[in-house]
Amino acid sequence: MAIEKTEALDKLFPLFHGQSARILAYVAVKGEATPEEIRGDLGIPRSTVYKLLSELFAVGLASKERRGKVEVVKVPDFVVFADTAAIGELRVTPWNIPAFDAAHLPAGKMFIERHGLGKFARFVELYDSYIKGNTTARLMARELEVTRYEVEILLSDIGSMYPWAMGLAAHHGRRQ
Amino acid sequence: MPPITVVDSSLMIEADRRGVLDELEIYLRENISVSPPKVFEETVTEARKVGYVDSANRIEGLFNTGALRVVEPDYSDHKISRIVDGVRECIARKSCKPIHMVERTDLDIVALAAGYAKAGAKVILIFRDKALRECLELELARQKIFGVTVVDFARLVDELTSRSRRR
Repeated sequence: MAIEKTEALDKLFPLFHGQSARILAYVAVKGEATPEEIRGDLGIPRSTVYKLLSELFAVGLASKERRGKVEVVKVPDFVVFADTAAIGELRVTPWNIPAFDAAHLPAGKMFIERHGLGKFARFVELYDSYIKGNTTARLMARELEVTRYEVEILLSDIGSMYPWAMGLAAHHGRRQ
Repeated sequence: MPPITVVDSSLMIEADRRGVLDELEIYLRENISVSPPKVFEETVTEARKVGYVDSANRIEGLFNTGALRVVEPDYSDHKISRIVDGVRECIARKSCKPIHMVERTDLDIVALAAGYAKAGAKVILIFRDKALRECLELELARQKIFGVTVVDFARLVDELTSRSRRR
């Protein structure tokens, strides 16, 4: 059931999970980045970086600017809004893409299984405020009517996949 | 008074999730380490309720071995209450929520830290939230409470993880 629900999210926004999501989130946090920085810091093969970037450029989720010999990638401040029967309202911005992608992580799958896609969508929205320093994990938990523990493990798993978003240095092994 | 480390739920849950609770225990034993009852409730009681029993048991171990003590904050000191209420107002403003949504017990770690600092201890405070950090630093400066150091959460987690790899 959790897999079906996650697949529903993937189909809605296929570019907002996996490596393309990591690229978007990385560039959003950094402000701008070169393809070489993306390749080096995210550990994604060069050909894959260029392929994914061209997909992102094509739909306007990223842009490029040439500065001398170097190409610089930027992510505009977008909001992608969906309103579906299965999920309810969902807003994805460059800042909360890691939260959206957390649907694939252990804590995300458990959260969706327990609380449903609608509540997960709300978490994704609240994460935007959280990462910008405008709310706390406890407030998020209260608003979602879930335990703080569940919010913290989501934040922890997001930090593992998107360490730069949380100011962390490296990706380490995790307890499931 | 020896240095005091005041620990939030976020650190324990993160350390457990990364499999570095042993390293965290060593770190906590470097000072007297305390948490308010709310932290025990979130990391042990609530974790069990939502099915994370193994995690709850591991974290409870930190309390059972005495690496971390549960201490009730003292709100009888008006200055401590003013600091906590100031932080509440700041968080409510930042999040555009009514102040009653930010409960006082949410900020028990702040009350503990401020109380120990006011008593002359050097205090280390550890938590994840950026919003809390910004509001706390503002309020401590306003109330002229010195001696509280908010540790960089990410850096500490990375340090604990590095230590575990060197084991």
